[in-house]
Amino acid sequence: MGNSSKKISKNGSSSLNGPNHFVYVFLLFLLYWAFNYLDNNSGAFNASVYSPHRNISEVNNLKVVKSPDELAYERGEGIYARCAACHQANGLGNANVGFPPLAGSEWVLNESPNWVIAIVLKGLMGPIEVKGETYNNVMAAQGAGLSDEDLANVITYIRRNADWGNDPNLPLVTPDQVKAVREEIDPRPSMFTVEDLLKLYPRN
Amino acid sequence: MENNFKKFKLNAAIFLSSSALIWLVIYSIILTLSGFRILSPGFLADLSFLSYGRLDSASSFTLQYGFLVQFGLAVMAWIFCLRGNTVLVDKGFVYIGGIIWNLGVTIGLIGILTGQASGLSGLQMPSQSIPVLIVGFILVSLSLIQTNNRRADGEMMPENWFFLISILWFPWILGGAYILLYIKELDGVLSNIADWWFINNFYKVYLTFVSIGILLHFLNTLLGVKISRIHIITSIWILLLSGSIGGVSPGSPVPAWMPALSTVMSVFYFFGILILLKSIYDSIKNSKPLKSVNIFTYAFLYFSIGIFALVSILNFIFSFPFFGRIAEFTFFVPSVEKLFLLGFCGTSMFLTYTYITQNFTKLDIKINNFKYLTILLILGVLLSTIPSALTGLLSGDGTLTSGLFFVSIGNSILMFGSILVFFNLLKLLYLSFIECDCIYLLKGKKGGIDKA
Amino acid sequence: MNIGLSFILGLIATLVSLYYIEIWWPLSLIIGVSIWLLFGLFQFKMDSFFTILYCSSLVFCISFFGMVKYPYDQLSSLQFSETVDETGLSFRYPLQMNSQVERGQNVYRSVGCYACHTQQITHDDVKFDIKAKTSSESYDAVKDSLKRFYDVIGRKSSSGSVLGFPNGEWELVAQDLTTSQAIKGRSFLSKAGASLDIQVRFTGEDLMPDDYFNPEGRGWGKRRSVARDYIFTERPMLGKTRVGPDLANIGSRQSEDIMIRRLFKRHRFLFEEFEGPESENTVTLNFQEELNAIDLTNDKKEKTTSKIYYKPTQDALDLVAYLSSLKGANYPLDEAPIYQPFSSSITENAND
Repeated sequence: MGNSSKKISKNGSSSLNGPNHFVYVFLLFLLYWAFNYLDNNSGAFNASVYSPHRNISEVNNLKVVKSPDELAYERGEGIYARCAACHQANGLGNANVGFPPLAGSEWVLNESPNWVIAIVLKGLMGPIEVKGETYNNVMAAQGAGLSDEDLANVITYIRRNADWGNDPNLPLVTPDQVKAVREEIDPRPSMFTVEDLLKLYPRN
Repeated sequence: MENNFKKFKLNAAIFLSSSALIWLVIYSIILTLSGFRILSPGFLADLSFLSYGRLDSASSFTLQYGFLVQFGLAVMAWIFCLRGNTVLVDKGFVYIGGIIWNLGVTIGLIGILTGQASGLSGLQMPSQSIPVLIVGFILVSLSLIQTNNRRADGEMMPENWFFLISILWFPWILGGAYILLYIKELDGVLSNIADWWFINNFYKVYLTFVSIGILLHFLNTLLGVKISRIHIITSIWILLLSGSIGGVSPGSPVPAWMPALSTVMSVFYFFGILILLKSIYDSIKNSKPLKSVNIFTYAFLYFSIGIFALVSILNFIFSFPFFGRIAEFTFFVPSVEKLFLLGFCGTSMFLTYTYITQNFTKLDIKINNFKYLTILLILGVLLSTIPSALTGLLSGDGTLTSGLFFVSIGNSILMFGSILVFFNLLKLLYLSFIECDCIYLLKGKKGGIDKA
Repeated sequence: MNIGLSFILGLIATLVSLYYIEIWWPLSLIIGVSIWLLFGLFQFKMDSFFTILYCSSLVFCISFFGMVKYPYDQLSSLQFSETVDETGLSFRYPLQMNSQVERGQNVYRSVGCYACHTQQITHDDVKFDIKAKTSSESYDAVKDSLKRFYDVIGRKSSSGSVLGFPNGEWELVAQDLTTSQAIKGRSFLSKAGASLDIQVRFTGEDLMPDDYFNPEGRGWGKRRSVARDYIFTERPMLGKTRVGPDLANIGSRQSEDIMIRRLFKRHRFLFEEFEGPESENTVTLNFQEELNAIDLTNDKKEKTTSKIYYKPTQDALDLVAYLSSLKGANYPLDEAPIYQPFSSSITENAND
């Protein structure tokens, strides 16, 4: 293979010059356009940026920044739908059938939420006195179907629901509290009665 | 006469091209069935192996792997021998590779029709057929590369560059895709990304390069055009670099940089094609037809160049998201793909076919139905792609477009054309068999060997 | 090409690959040096098979690493994320498939549904609207910042929203903002002391329709599909053409009954005929049948209505189970938030 850059190739044309030099200049402009286009549209090659967002800080800013209180309340409201079948959407329960109200209930509004957590986790049977009335029915255990976060959210909701007259300034119920109660009462084979509940978490 | 199969011992190439033409007939039958199937779903509705999805996948698979790649290999063998003035080296590899390749295509076709398609949009064949295809191709390519290395002249024609790169490229991309999808088992969107990467490379690098090479060869033979080598060097590397990256459509569920990069690379690809087209155009302007060849061969040549330009412009325009979103998920995208496959790649194969077979008019074997062949094939290609592309754009996605009616007609015309091609081939083989007791397709007037 | 020019080329290649593409520095050094040497020292010859082999393998590596390896590094570690569903329950999305759903996915793939249906939702654009409320202390500051904001985004700062900005009430101050404009607006206004309420809406044909904001919406989902939707799917059948509707979110849109009826109407080969009474799982086809026999006594052809009973095959049931599991485009993800109407509230401190 000799140095054939100078001889006229019999297999190619006799034009020794390459493409018009403007082609190379245009190629440089094209490169500039390409880098510009990539800067605008590629989101800095980040894996979380999907079109039409332009960079990762835009995507981060799009996250609706709700306070944890608001988030817990809203999620609890959604979960409460399953409780509303018995306790009603207005939280007043049904005295005829024996479903106690949650609105204004001392069991709900107690300083420590452990009563409510325990009742929801394990269920309750037997009579319970709420706001001076006695309600006698059975509440099935809900602990299996709800995670700690969901339970914390729904209890936050019912404790803070201002429409029912409950206190919106009560502290958040955290999943850790739910987890602690769950571990404590887990060995119990059966539902709570009021006496058992008060033995475990006495009034004070 | 230039194509001297006996001298170059090109029987293996004849074997490859004959089996490719059989696959072409099979493809056109499946295509016609699928055209009917999408328009009237009740037709043949009881046979679940003929559902539209299966027929569609089977038809595209048969076209790409059964016809285009195989016929391309045969044409490459012929051009290597012709330009290098050498025999086909190690032609046993071509025979065995061809048999294995056909086996792979058969396995793939049966797999798709019985429902074992992979579900990906590009690599639709079942995983069992891919290693067979790779092995077959590598065997054939061993012979081809050695043939090119034994060329008489130290310098290669430009089309040889295109052919060599594509011969190297195909096992790499198919093997790479196979390893990614079935050995390393990428899941989720990553398998789709690997699939899109393969299809982009397959269309924009492999098939385009083979067809451009064939075009350049025939521009040289038919029109006496010699394209400047520096232009081709510039454009070939731009095309390779930019065609091998990209291929992600704008709405895909991937991070935003992938469609953006695909758009940028499409622009560079179009730029490379423009350089090539401009140099072709400049050279054609000052040329005149060298040989008194059949006018229909010229029809195929110009048709092929025209469709190439059209498809390149369309791909360039619709790679921008502004336009691409309009065409996404409509029938425009598969129609333009089909136009590219049939109108550009397929037509270069037909071009080779008509050029080679018409030389037999000098002998007792007469092929006089070139007119019908050309009309049927070109009309079929146009009718089965352009109306559905236009109406697909206009009517948007999520609906059955009215252009599909023309697609069915075009498919049927294509089927008749391909059956005609196949009968010609049968007639040739039969006649040459009984004439000279061998399967060399050309003999001299007095039984001697024509000089090249 | 002389060695000086090729040195410049090699230098450019090194710098671009190192600083823009950001590949490992020895690799970029190798690329630069090899380009320099090939072009300059070895007189880069296209006619040599070795050159073609070397350069095309180089390009192949660039393509492979750029288009396959790099996305693999980015996306292979995606996990499920915590999100909320319609009832507010937090759950992990996406969910793993059980065996019936997997069988259904096989049916989907083997019949070839992906030829006419896609499973990816796209959207065109995202737009923001801002409502602001101020109190009497911050009124002037807020009005000033609103004027500055309008100037920055190029709208008329003498428009009604600025002049007639009320005190103590929610007022719509800007509509149809892009993301960067919305971020600027949020920071301007909240630093001046206003309370803000921002509505995020996506426009696009695939998304939920809205008479005013997204009239062309076809209601296929509330957000676009992203890579995280498919992490538990081995081969997402994203599809390329839409002859029928998009199926990425069909589990949220249609119940199983409706799915069975739709499947029957359009793809009857999934069902089989059987004798026998209807039940809740069967689909009944009523049709008029003309009796060909003529009653000789009164010379009338009688028409009767007869029924053919179809029931779904096991394939159809698996398919329906698979389609019901395709839901998720109504739940927000970090990288793809959903349509957030005006009830969402933003805290006063904008974090940029």
